[in-house]
Amino acid sequence: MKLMIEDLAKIREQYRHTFAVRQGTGRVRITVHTGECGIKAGARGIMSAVMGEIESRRLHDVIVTNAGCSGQCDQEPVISVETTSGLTMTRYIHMTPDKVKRVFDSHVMRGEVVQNLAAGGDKNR
Amino acid sequence: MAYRSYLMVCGGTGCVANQSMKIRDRLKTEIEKRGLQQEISIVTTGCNGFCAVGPLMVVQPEGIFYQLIKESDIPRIVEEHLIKGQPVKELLYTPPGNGRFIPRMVDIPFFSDQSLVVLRNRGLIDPERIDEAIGRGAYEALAKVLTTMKPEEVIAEIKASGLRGRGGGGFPTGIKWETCRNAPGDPKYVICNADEGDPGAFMDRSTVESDPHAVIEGMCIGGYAVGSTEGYVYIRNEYPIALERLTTAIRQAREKGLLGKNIFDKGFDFDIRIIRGAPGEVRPYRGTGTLGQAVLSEQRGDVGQCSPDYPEWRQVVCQHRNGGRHGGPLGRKQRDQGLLALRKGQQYRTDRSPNGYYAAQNHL
Repeated sequence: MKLMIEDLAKIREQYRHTFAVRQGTGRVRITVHTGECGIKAGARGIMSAVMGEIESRRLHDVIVTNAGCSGQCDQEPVISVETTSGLTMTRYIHMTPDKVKRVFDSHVMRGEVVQNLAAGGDKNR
Repeated sequence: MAYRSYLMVCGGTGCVANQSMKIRDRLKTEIEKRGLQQEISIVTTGCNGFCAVGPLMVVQPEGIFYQLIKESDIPRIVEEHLIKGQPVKELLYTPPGNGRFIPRMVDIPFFSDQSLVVLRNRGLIDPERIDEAIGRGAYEALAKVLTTMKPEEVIAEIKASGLRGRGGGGFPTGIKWETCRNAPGDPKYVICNADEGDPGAFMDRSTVESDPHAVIEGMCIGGYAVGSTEGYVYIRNEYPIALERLTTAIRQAREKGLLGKNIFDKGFDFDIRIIRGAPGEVRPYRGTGTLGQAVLSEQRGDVGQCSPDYPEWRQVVCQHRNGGRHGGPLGRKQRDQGLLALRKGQQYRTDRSPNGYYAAQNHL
């Protein structure tokens, strides 16, 4: 199938998320804590929910990583949301798939921290 | 499908010789066993350059660098890092003479000192998938050249960039291309020298293994500039992986119409053939003269034997036999650097790096 010049840009667009992840660069970085306690509390489901949001919203500038125990085992599942343009990293606790959706609507898409889901409000890095 | 993580497994010659493909296969099995195949993708890349610590792998997006991996390490990596988020410390890079490990590739001195130009796709793409190269901008420079620039303007841009050859002579690329374009006679050929006879050198191997489309695109642009429709890559027989990757890349480029007739419907024809160095040959460094001889042999149907009769070749060139396929002047191509200068449309300055390497740097 012969490619025309316009096709090059289309293919580049399809790969934007792929190369953001492969280079570890992204406007938003979400860390899902998947230590033992996290997994027992359902962190794997939270991870799926986060990936689901990225896919359904076709986001190309959000990358996800995992980390070990968050240190607060009674608050698991815990995720952290960090925007690389700003200086805040927000820790969200007792996560469920529904709460993941709210975090995406508000924090990821509009930069507004969801205060009532966060652990004690913003923590400046 | 959006992946959470990519495992960039090195598939360069050094790592493959150290069984990195077995590592990759074991990874695949383990990932599937743990049900992670929707989340995590395994990518076989080209050479990363740090062959001494292979087999190696980088886990993205964290950028964690694993070295000296054995098959028996895989279940632990999958369990502790990919599932539970704790990198396996024993497999991280440790600088010699210093006990402290360095988890991230970007912090390892071997990599952090590098400023990638030609090898900008190193370790980032699967070289056997043309879409990934295009995803990183491959063939954009060719598109720009074919739509907005005349051959003379391409040559002017290359001259202005100050680009020089990577052979011992450091010959100015722009002047080479200009000379070729102005030389009387037809047809003209673009020859890429991937013989790499310098003992121990493997930067050409690295380039072809990591990013073969950079080579192809560069030759296309060179062909356009000098007025050639035929390119040859002379690659040494001792580089089977590079040879395979280049063969695949050429085939895929042809399938997508990026090589062949009427590229991008812009009326430009260009195609590339590979010439393999004869197996087991012991030879001195191959330059333009002997490569030219190889091209002629290939055209006559001889089997890739390259004779050291340099003077004979020069005589053939100078005879300018018209009407035949022999005797066309050659343009020796510095494959990929040229396309970078054109892609960015900026001045490039060639510099000596502290290690005595010629490197083209972006001069802003």
